[in-house]
Formats: sequence, structure tokens, C-alpha cells
Amino acid sequence: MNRLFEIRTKILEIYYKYDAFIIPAVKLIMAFIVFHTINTRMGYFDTINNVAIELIASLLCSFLPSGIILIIAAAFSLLHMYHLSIIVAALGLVIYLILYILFLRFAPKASLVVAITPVLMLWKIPYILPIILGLIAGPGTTVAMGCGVIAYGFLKIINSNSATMATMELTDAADQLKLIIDELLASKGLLMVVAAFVITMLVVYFLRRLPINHNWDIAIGAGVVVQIVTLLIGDVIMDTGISFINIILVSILAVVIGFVIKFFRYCVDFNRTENVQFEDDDYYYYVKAVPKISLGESSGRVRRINRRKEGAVSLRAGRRDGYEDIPEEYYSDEFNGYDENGYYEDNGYTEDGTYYGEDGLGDDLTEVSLDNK
Amino acid sequence: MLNREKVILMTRMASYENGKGKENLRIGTYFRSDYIFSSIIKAIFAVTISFVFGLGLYIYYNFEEFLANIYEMDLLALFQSFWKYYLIVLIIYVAISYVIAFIRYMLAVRNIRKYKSNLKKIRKLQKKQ
Repeated sequence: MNRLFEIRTKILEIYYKYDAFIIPAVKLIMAFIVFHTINTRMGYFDTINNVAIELIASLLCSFLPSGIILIIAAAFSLLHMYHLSIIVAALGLVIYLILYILFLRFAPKASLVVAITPVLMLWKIPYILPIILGLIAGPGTTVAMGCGVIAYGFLKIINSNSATMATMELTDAADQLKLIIDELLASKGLLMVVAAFVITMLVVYFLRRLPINHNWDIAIGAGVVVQIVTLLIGDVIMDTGISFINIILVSILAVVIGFVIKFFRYCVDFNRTENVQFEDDDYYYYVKAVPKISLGESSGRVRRINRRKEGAVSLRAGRRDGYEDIPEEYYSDEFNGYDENGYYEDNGYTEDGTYYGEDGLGDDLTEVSLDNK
Repeated sequence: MLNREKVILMTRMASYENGKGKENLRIGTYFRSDYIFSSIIKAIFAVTISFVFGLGLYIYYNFEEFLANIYEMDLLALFQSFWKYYLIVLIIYVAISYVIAFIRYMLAVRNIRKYKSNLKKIRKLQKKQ
């Protein structure tokens, strides 16, 4: 276990040292995955269906705020829709706007989640998301997750009807719209997934925040169970026909990721190196503040001094814990073990003959670590 | 002379001002009632705009039907039913916005209080020097 903690410390040290490069790199990779997925899946507009353009857009995202990824992803998908049919693009714009105005307004910083959710849905591993977000993010992120699921459903419907729509003329615009809206309203499975995700994430979040022992373990376990149960109930009610083998396998993956996050929880606390500037009357300060690596709970130790041995004599009468009864001389009138200051005169020995010395720490000093390893 | 304690405090506050503090301090410039009122107004706008979009989609979706039956339809009853849906959505959404605004304001005020006490500490340290 200690070896693992050493590795964690090393990883965190590297992270804090190079986070100025690591964070943009992660953003670049995420943005590229999102844009590439949109292009390969939709790909109706050849001009932007190009790795060079994906790379340029991802590079832009790497140093701009993370919300830009979502804006560019939305623009990519709208351009593809536009090439398919102008009315579909208009519908897409309206749906995106409604999602933004009504919901995403409350969680503007979680916009990355909206972009990532459809990709995970496509890879068939979205069930890790509520667990991870419940562990690292606030309850407001549920909204972003729901928006991501709905956006995925919308894009999927467009994709599956693209062949039909490509043959339609512009005069059939109303029919195109009807086709998509009908399917969107009929896809109850989508709402079920949103509900299951929101419930799971809130359960994980609130259990994690409870002031009890093992709250993280309980949160991860309960989250997985709640997710499977809610999806099962949803499947029974709505008859969505989702694959439960997949859900269980992904849930196992979610547990593994959850424990990795628990192990690194100080890293995902969004502590990062801060470069700040300020001044007072005498100086300008250019300060680089690097977060300290905390070992967390695992360093808590309880020192137990003079633990009783088997068969030790208790000073108190009437013990029921299996210790021997107190010999008569200890409480008979002749016994006077106390000096004139009221201290017990035992010359550094306990009743059972164990030497504890002047420092109060005997030979049987034990250190009990409270690790929940 | 550089004062260690002061530099630490000032660094903390500068990083707060750059991050979470920016939004908190903006919220702190309002009275509570004003902040909540403004967020409710925004919520009403949001619902209204979304509803107009939704209505537009609905009418476009049923456009042919509308055109065919425009003279026989009971337009008043139709608008009344729209109005009812609008009000239900509005009330739910405004209630949620109210709760969120309330919590946000409370948290912001709590953080600003800490920030101000740190400011006082710095002022004291400055006087000592």
C-alpha cells in the first residue's frame, strides 16, 4: 500500500509541475475526440469533414475556456445538418437554444460534460458518467448530463433518418420536421436514461458528502446499485430493450474508475498551480503557488499506550471483560500504594509487572493505524 | 521587508478573486431581494422564449391541419390551453430558479464575509509594519 501512495505522490508532483501543459493537452485530446466523432458519424458536409480542420479547432479549444468545445461541437453538428437539410438545421438550432436557455444556464462551467456525454453514449459506456460526476462535481452538473443525453438522442435520430431525408425535396420540409419530431417524442428510452442518470448522480453526490466513515465507498457502491435498479425499472415500464450485460460490465468499470478517483481525490479537487499577481505599497508580487500534496486520511494514526495484556489485573472492581478479579490486598486497609502527593507509587511498573518507564510509554507501546486499506 | 504571512494571505485572496470570487463579488454587489428578483426575471424571459420556440415548432408541425381547419377551429380554446401549459411550466421553472438564486446568494455572502475578514487582517499587518 505504501508503494501505491508513493506512486500517487509522484504522479501528483508531476501533475502540479507540468499542469500548464497537461491541462491543455487533455483539452486538446477531448476536443479532438468530440469533433472527430461528430465528423465520422455525421459527415454530410465534406468541407469540414477533414482531420486538419478538426485539429485546428481542437488546438483552439486547448487554450480557450472549456465551454468553447461545446460551441464548436454544436457548430459542427449544425453545419452537417445544414448540408442535409436547412429545416433540420433550424430544428437543431432551436433544440440547442432551448437546452441552453432553460437548462445549461444554470451550469455554464459544466458545458464540457454536454460535449462528452454523447461520445460516451456512442461508445456504449455512458453509465460510468453519473458515478464519476457524482464523485467530482456538484449537483448542477446533472443538468449538463441530461442535455448531453438529449442532444445524443436528437443526433441519433437525424443519423438514422439521413438516407430518407437526403431523398426529400425542400418542399417536403414539413415532412422532414415531422419525421424527426415524431421520433423524438416517441423515444421514451431517452427520458428514462436521463432520469436514471440524474437519480444516480444525486445519490452518489449526497452519499459522498455525508459525514460518515467510508462515505466514498458507500457512494460508489450505492450509485452502481441505484443505477442498475432505476434502469431496470425504466426498462420494465418503458420497454426500451437496453442490454443489461453491457450495463453490468460498464458498472464494474465505473466502480474501478470510482476507486481510482477516490485514490487521487486531492488531485481532482481542482487544486492546481496558481500564478497570481498583486501589489502593495512597496512591492509587486508575482507569486506561483503550488498546492501541497496531502496524504489525506490515511496518515491518521492513533497511539495506544499501555494496552492491557491477557490476564492483566484491573484496578476497578466488578469488571465483566474477562480480566481477573482484583487481589484483596489492593483494596484492603493495609494497602497504601499512594505517596503523600497522591501519586501512585509503582516505580514505573504497572500492576501486571509491565515496565512503562518515566515517559509513560511502556514496552508494549503499540501504534494502530486507522487506514481503511 | 517582505512579510510571509501577508504574502500568503494576499496570494490566497488573489487566487480567489481570479476564480470563484469573481462571480461571488458580482453577486455581492446586489441586495438579496434584487438578486433573486433579477434571476426570476431572467427565468421568465427564458421560459417565454423557449415557449415561443416550442409554439413555433408546434404550429409548423401542424401547419397543414391549421390551414385546412382555420375557419372551424376554436382558436380561443386552443390559446387557453397553450396559456395553461405556459403558466405551469413558468411556475415550476421560476420556483426552481428562486431556490437556486437563494442558495447562490447565501453561499456568495458567506465567501465574501471570509474575504472581507482577510482584507481586515491584511490591513492590520500593514499597519504593524
